Amino acid sequence: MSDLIERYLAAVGRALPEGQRADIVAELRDELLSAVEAREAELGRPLTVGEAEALLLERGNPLVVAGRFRQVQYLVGPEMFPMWWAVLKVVLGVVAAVYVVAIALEIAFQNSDGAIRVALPGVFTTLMTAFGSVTLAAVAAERLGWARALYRWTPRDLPPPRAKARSTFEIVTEIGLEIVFLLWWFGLIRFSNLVPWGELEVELSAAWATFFWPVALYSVVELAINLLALARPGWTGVHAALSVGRGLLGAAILIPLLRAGNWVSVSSAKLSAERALEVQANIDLVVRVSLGVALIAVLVKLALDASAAWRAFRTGGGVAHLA
Amino acid sequence: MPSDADIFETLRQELRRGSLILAVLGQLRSEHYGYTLRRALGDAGVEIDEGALYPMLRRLEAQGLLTSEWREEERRNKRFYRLSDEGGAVLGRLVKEWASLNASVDAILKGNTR
Repeated sequence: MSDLIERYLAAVGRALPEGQRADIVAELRDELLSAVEAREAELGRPLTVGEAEALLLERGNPLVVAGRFRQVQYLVGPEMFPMWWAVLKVVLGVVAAVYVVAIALEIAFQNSDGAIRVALPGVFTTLMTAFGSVTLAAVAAERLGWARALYRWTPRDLPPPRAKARSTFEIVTEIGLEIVFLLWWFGLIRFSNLVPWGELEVELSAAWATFFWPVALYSVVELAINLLALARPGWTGVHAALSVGRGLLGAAILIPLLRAGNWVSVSSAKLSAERALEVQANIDLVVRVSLGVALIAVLVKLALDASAAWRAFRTGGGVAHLA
Repeated sequence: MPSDADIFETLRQELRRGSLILAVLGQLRSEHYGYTLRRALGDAGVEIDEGALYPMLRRLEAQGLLTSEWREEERRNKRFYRLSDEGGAVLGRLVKEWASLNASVDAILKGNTR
């Protein structure tokens, strides 16, 4: 019987922090032996093995018993949980959006070499990695006591109640698109053929080389605006300022880009050089019109954003709606 | 979906959690080791299992509300606990809080049963 008690205590001890192990086990041993003695005194005879077993079963699983001596018994506690859940939903949403966009593009561009799928890890692996990373970050924040700092807020940070807020779905989808665009822009994923029309090979012309970093910067600003919209929707002033910055950057890219005159290069194994040039000129015309329309849209949006930014800063950020 | 019995059990445990600390601190105005403390509490009508008691004793000691020492008694080493001076002061304040809360809840409950 005492062998059973020692086995039980050793099992509890194995799950205890080393520094407290001997002390806790010694105290539990006295508790158990006292309980056995009291029971034996009641019965007037030694306990049978079955009775000793029942007594230990009453105490509970050694892991649970040891666990109760630990200060923290959870990975993500009640304080961190809402933050963990909110961030997890967004991160998993972005991952899902990236894959949906990538798969849609692959289908649309008949990307037969599967370059996108090669460039991106399997969706399950990415989802599990995202889940693990967010959870680990939450565990670290929990243990390091960052929860209070993470939840710091002021009423001014809250978005105005009647603000025409974009839905989370919309923002997350845009983030997904932007990530796929950046991956493509930096050559991490590629489409075998920009426009899958018959025998034509359509690629971006050399004119774009000058705009490589400005376009990358524009996309990063766009991504930052969307991430901020999720994390700090109430920073109306900062949002407006960033939007103005994005508008200026967009105009600064589009104006010289419009002057380039040639944006795609068309080649074909089957068509004659003249015919290919003709097609190229037609596509360039479409691009010219598109870039022109885009420039007008950017300038109009810039004017609206600048006026919103002015209003937000004049009235003191997020409380503009109270004025 | 938790049954009525589960809900009751969860609420009962929540209700007991705070009062158990009060009972333990009160009982340790005189010295006890774990087993006799549990017996004394049980005799007074406050059942507590050792899985809850021993971690609680350690927490209260770490908070400075209890002192403890290992001594040999009945041929075995036992850890004796007693309320510290600081624990006595905290217990005094908690008892006042308990009495006031009890009176308020009592008044509410009596009012509702009318």
